[in-house]
Amino acid sequence: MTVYAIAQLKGGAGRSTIATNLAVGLEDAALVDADPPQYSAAAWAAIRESDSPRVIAAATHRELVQAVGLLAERHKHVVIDCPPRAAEITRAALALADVALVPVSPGVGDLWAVQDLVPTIEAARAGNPGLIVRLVWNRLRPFVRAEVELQDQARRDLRIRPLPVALGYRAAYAQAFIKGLSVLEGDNAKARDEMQALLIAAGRLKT
Amino acid sequence: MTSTKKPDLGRALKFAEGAENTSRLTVNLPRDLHRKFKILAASQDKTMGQMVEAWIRREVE
Repeated sequence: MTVYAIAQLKGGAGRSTIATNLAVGLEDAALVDADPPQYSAAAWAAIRESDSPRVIAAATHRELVQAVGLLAERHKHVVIDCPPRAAEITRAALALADVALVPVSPGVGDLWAVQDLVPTIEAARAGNPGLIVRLVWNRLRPFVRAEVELQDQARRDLRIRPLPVALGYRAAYAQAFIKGLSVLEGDNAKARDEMQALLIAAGRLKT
Repeated sequence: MTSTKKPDLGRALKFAEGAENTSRLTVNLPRDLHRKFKILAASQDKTMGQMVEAWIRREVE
């Protein structure tokens, strides 16, 4: 059983997009939407024409811990969509997680927010020393020089390594989300391929 | 190969609440004494737990 926490303190970085796509792509996965009051992932599940993945909403850290305890006995993977706050829910998620993925869009605000998350990650590692943390670049345009330079700068400034797979700036993600789908189930081959690559890269972290 | 470890829910809960490396102390008090203590703590803008911890620290240290 592997627990993935999708954590980032800045809103709009792509937490729910990555969480829902991971939950669809990982074998026998369940998703905990721990981002009240938006509950974007739970809303995504509500419009989804499938009971899989199972999605549970957690309003508090106690509900999150209870949900992970329940799901861990029944599923191979649990994905937690964290709130954009370094509050109790995010702390609980990082204490429970085997892997924390931190989505970042190519903007300095996202990188500042990662720096704000680092103390919580380090505190969580004291009790959860096996916690693996990786950045996931999202909405990246590799042909834009400023964005490539920002990636290089982040590599120098942050102690968190990036996953070797980045998600591109594609409408396919929003189009899939609004239909309750993953890009893995859509017809955009580029989005599907890069999400598949992300799943493989994330899975390798635990091998 | 994925991990087979069971999540440590109790540790996660303590960490979330900033209560890691702590132990719980339970004390049974007469109801009236408990009420007076609660009022005293509130009048000093503290919790009963904070007042008990401060007293124990003074005694121990």
